[in-house]
Amino acid sequence: MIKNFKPFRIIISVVILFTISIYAEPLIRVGLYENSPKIFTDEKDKPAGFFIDIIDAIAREENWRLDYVSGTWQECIENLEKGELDLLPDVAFSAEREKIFDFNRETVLINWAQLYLTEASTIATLFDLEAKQVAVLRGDYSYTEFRRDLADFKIQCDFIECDSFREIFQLLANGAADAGLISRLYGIRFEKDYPVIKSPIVCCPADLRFAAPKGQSGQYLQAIDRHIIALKNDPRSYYYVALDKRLGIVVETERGPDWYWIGGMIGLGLVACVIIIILVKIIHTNLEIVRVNYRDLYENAPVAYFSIGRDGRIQHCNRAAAKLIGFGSPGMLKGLPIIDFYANTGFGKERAKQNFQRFLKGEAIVDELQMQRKDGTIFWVKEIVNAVRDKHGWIGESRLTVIDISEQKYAESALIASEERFRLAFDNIPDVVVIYDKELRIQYINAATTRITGRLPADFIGKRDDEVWPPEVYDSYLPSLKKAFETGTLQTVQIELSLAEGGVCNLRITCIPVLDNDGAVREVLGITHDFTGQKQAEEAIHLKAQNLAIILEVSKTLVSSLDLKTVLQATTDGLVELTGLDSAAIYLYEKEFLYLRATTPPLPSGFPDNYRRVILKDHPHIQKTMASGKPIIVPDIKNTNLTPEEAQIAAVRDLRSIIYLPIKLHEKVSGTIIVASCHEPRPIKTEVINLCITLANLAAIAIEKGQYYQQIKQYTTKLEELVSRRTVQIEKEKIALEQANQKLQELDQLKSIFLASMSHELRTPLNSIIGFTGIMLMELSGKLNDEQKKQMKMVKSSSAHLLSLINDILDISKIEAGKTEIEVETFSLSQTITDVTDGIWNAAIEKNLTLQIRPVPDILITTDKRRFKQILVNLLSNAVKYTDAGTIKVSVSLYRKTLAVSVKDSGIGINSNDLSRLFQPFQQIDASLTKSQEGTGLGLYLCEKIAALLGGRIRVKSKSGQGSTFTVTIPKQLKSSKT
Amino acid sequence: MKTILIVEDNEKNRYLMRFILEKNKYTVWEACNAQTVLDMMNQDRKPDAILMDIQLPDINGIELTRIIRQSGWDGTIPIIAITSYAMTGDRGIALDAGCTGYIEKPINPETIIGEIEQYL
Repeated sequence: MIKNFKPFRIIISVVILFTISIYAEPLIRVGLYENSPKIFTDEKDKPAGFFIDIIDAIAREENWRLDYVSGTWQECIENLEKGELDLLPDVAFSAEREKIFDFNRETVLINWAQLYLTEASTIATLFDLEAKQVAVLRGDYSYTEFRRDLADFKIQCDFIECDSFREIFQLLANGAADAGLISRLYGIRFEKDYPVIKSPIVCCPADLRFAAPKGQSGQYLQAIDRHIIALKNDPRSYYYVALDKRLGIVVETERGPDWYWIGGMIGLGLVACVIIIILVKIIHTNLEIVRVNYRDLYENAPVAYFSIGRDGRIQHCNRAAAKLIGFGSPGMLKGLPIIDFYANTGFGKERAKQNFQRFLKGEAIVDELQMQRKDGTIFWVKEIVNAVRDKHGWIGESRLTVIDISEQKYAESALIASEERFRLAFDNIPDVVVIYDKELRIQYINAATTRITGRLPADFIGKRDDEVWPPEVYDSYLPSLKKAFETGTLQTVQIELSLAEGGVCNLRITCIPVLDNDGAVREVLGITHDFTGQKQAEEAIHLKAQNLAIILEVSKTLVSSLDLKTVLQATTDGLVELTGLDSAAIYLYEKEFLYLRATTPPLPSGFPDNYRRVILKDHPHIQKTMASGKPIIVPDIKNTNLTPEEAQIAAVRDLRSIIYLPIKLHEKVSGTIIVASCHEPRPIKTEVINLCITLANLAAIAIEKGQYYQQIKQYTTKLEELVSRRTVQIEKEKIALEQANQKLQELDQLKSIFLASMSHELRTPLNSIIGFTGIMLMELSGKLNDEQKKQMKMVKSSSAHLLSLINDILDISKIEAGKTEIEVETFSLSQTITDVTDGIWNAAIEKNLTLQIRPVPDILITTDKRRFKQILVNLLSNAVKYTDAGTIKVSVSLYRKTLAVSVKDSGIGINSNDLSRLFQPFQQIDASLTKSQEGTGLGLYLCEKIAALLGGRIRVKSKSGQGSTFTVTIPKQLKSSKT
Repeated sequence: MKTILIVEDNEKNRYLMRFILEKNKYTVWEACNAQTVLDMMNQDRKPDAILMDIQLPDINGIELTRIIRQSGWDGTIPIIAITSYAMTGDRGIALDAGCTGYIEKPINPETIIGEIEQYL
């Protein structure tokens, strides 16, 4: 194909172009923006770039006058849409854009975005980009696409937005970014200036063409197509020259004079029109170089190219193509039918054949197909088929450009799958889901709509809400929908619709704005949720809560109050409020009758008193309620047989529908509650009855409590009365007691004084009697005759007896009054025993008795010495007194801390019957002895008392006629003295 | 020849004691009330011993003993309390007040001189 070029033809055309006046020619407004090297403004402020080269060349041939209008990409595209531009170069062709613009049919250039990496990078696939820094061009279409691709694969990386591709390369060069997305054409041009490597990752293949406003510049586009086909078919054409120039692949050293030189030569030709042959030679030489360079580009391009003959066989392909379908070198593919490398699927061989047929008819083919590698793996490609025409314009062969788009396809299928899932999810939810576009037209509506309206989604798609819903529906939420679009915020509105069949329908409409990547609202998702049932349930719950609140309020009163009247009133009030009925009354059972105890509202004046008391047999409804313990409902008394008594009460209170409720606690019915509507019958729902039962049960507890309280109150009052009466009595008794006590104290004091003075007053005369008797017996006052002596001895004996009587009485009085005081001292035991026995010696001798004293331990004891001696003297004198012959034995023993002194006589002894009386006062066992034996009868009684005072006791062992043994035991050490 | 002062309000008992003491060769002074004793103290008429009855018409014998002991007249004069009180504790009270000895009424004429002389 390369052999067919005709250099002269081009040169001549150029010459003509420049020599013909251009003023009369059409002025074409061409958009100019910055996208080097395809289109840009050079340092001299002139339009430049590959597309400019091409359009300039075409304009020259077509005698067009071009007016470049500079602007940003966005401005250019808008101006084009408005028809203010006639042509815009370098526009990626797409089906969407074709709806808005016209395109030339022949691809001018294929471009894609190439991911470049730092030299040290290990990134091999998209997934390696996770958490990496990726530099991108701000606002770049491929950036948007790339970001979406990554999002589809759930890959998250950080994007560094740059203002130029140059900046991206710089970031990669200094390691500030891990990867950079660069226009492939810019990359080819400048990659050698930076330490970067190309990754296997590309995206956004773009079929770049010229675009024109719809229906406005058809003739220009046709001309452009014509020229481009011709240019592309001629390897030495401007097209390839411009490509080389703009992509900068040409190696300077090999080239010698470059394309500018050629331009210069042409200029020279225009001016001089001489030495054309020389020029032609030079041009020829240079074009050969260009050809070689083009081949180099062709062979080494990362995009697969196949040259296909009309027979469908591969004539030639580049390395990328061979590699794509799994071959080592392009040579191995030569002559093989290209169709063999399409997959055996719907998007494979069949479609490729169709495309080829279409191609042969002159159609430009851009399609997505499935190819198959040598190893059988199937992959998606985008193929662009360009015709290579011969000098006659016939299609000689085709050039097939193939781009592996498996990754994009995978992403797409993932997207489709996710959309499918989304649709499935939305179609199966009960809510109506609608997606609105910016014009508020319905883009999508789910299957729920059909279930609700009976209309198919297709009836809605593309329509506005006002075309499909009645105004009362859409008016209610339209503002929210609009607001969601305007503000980008979620809106919720609740509406209530009246249904034709009666009742209402409660809808909650939620408008969710869906934002595009720029944060603008792309569409709005409207979700309509019917919560009618929920609302009714809520209302029921609300009602229940209200009832509970009433019950709670009543129970508070019931629980907190003990007063029966309050409890009853709270119950009837609560029942009227709870049931919404008009009247309530409580009858309580007391002694055969029921008594009316509370009513709501209060009884009318003139309510007959005899109606307050109910005889059960006259009121069968109440009687039955009481007997069964279950509520009875009378829907309307007009339809019920009533006894005259029942009718009377119903008439007075104007009752119609009546509930009779038992007041029941512990299976015992204590009364009846009547709840009724007045004047008109009212329907009574089961739940109302249940509430009434609840309240009646509560009331039963409270009433019982109240009754108990009343009883307790009565008991308490009685008790209080009793207590107060008793208190008065006790008070009186207490005063009397206090007075008596005081008197007793006074008497006691008097007694003490009496005893003291008795002691003194009696002894004082006795002192003289005993003293003088003694003196006289001592014959200090003169000699006495025997008779005088005998009589004086009797005086002495009698006065001694009197003295001992006085002493004993005094002692007993003091002991009984608790006035006895103990004087504790430590003294010798043996000495004390000796003192006592010495005192009794004479008496024993007088009676011819033997006094035996066993050895006494020589120890000190601590007790009241005088009292201790008093006991011993008493026991010894008794022994002497009651023993006529024999022995009196005294023995002392110590056992641990206890001292025992025994006095054993051989006297008359004591009958066992009399032993118990022995220690009682004024007892002498033998009455006859009283005469014979002088004694007070107080001795043993006193001894026992004294022994007790000393912490001990006296025991006796005796048998009548066999003598007696008296033993006194006392502690050796008396701990404390009573003072 | 020792002098013994009998403080005793009962005339018969005063006579009994004088009789017994004089029979035993003692010089006997008598006082029938406390005032007489205080007068003798003021005149510094000092006996060799005092037999002190407890119940006196003006000041009782315990109180009188206390006054004598506290007066600094003579701390060494034996004062023997002779009392018919015979209540437990009387003995202690008498000794606490300053009495040298304690003899209960009624006295035993056969033993009284011996009892007195053990305090002289």
